[in-house]
Amino acid sequence: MEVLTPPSSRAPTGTVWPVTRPLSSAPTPIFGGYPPERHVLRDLALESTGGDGVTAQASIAVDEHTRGVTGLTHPGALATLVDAVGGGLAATAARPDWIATADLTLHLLPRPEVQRAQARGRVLRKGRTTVVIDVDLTTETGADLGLATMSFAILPRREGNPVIDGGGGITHMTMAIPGSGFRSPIEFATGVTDVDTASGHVTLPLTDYVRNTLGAVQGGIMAMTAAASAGRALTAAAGRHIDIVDLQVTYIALAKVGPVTARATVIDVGPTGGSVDIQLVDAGSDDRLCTIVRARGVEVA
Amino acid sequence: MNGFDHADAGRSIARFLGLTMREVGPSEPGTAQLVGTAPAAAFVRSADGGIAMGALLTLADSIGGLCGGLAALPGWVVSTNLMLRAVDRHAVGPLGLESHVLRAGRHATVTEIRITDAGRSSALVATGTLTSAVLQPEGGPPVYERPLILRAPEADDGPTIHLDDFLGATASGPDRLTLTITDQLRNPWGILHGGVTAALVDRAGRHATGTAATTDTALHYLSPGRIGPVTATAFPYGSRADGTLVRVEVRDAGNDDRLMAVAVTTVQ
Repeated sequence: MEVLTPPSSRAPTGTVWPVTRPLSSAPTPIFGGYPPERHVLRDLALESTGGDGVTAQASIAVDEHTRGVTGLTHPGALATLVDAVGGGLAATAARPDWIATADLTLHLLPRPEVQRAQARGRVLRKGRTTVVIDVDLTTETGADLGLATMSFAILPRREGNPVIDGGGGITHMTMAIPGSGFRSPIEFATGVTDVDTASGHVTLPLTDYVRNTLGAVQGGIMAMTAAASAGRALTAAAGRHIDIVDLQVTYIALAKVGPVTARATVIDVGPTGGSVDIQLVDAGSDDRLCTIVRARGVEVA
Repeated sequence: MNGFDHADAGRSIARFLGLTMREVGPSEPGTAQLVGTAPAAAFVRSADGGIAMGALLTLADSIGGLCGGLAALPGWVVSTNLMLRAVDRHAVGPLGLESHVLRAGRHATVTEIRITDAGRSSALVATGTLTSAVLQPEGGPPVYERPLILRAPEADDGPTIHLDDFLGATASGPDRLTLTITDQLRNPWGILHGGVTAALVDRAGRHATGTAATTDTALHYLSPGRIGPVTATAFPYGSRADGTLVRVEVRDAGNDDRLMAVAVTTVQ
């Protein structure tokens, strides 16, 4: 077993995380062969319900590997949930055309020890050029967990774009397969690596584990990488642990080569928390600017 | 033909805010950069003495939209998403504005906006991002001499009323404001100015929670306000150490209550 040290987790430094695990059944594809057997959406145990084209629901399992030191759900895990719900809804709404994610906002309430995060998305607007989605996040007991929005640009369909089934009817899909589930913290599992913790400089390799249907880094995982960068930078600047609770994500270009490099600029730190800006570039594509993020963090008692 | 054919049409907002904008850098297709100034006057401050988020949002929408529009020529743009975070609203003034293009595609432009305090060594007041959809307007885009300079229209004589009075929104419930679409609140296209919608969101969030200031806004423009009256209803969502999250819906009551905008704000 390969032994690696996670960059950030609740476990003490030196904890050994297994990086391989058995898989005993075939994956459930969304589009063709996507996602592969080993994919972050499977380890999040994403379950989704949709089909009426206007609303959709999904949920993910939350455990110690998707929580931070204060017990809050990793905002990147929630952003990935939102991205999955919003992307599915928008793709359905835009048929026969295709979509590109333009932005994602996430505003969270600090609720610790959530067991399962649930998302209910609905189409707010479908026009000629854009689709706008909003998403309510709740806990397994129905308590409010956060608000999210996403907007998408509608693009003319190209060869190779996934085909969305237009058959109608409510569908229920489970991403998890036998063996799914994190064995290590989500940042570690996705490959987030610290370059300079205090400045929030982290990298993320582009692997099949985090790809989207277009072969680039999944939008929620870009947000997760930004949250990882933001949390490190704010915590270092504040001198105490800060949890990221807001993300305003603007997608500029797809990260198709990797690794993705995230760098943070702390804007302000005060008694309740602070703000930080993050830029994510595709280092393998001439440091092309892919995503900008404004994040807000608060101290959680 | 559009409102841009008349030099003063749709410029009441710029006149009120005293907003001057100037293009800097090369005038090349697919890119643009603008700088601007506006006074940090008493009539744009909220109860805590800081510049009202509504004023900052309006300035951001104005300069970011113009920047995106120049980059989209020969098309033009309509705002779809404005995200702005206040850093320190207690500006001495005047305010300095800067906007540049992050991305200019065939379908959308993304511009970044920074608002600084020239009276305090250019300290950061707010930062944000405006995403706009590219359109091919009937009658063509506005025609500007480049590099563009848009000076603030001369202010009306007499004392300037407060931003809240300029908007004219009135409480129509504990969590709701109502606004009449007057000519001075329209943009050159004849619809409700995006900045006015944003300022209404700011006021509605504060009205419903009894708070003094908005510190963060993420606003999606969904459809234009054409008829009115316009209602803004705020739904307080939950509290955190840095304030209260509020969801705000803006509707055109005179147009079948059509949903115009949805926003999430943080107030304190």
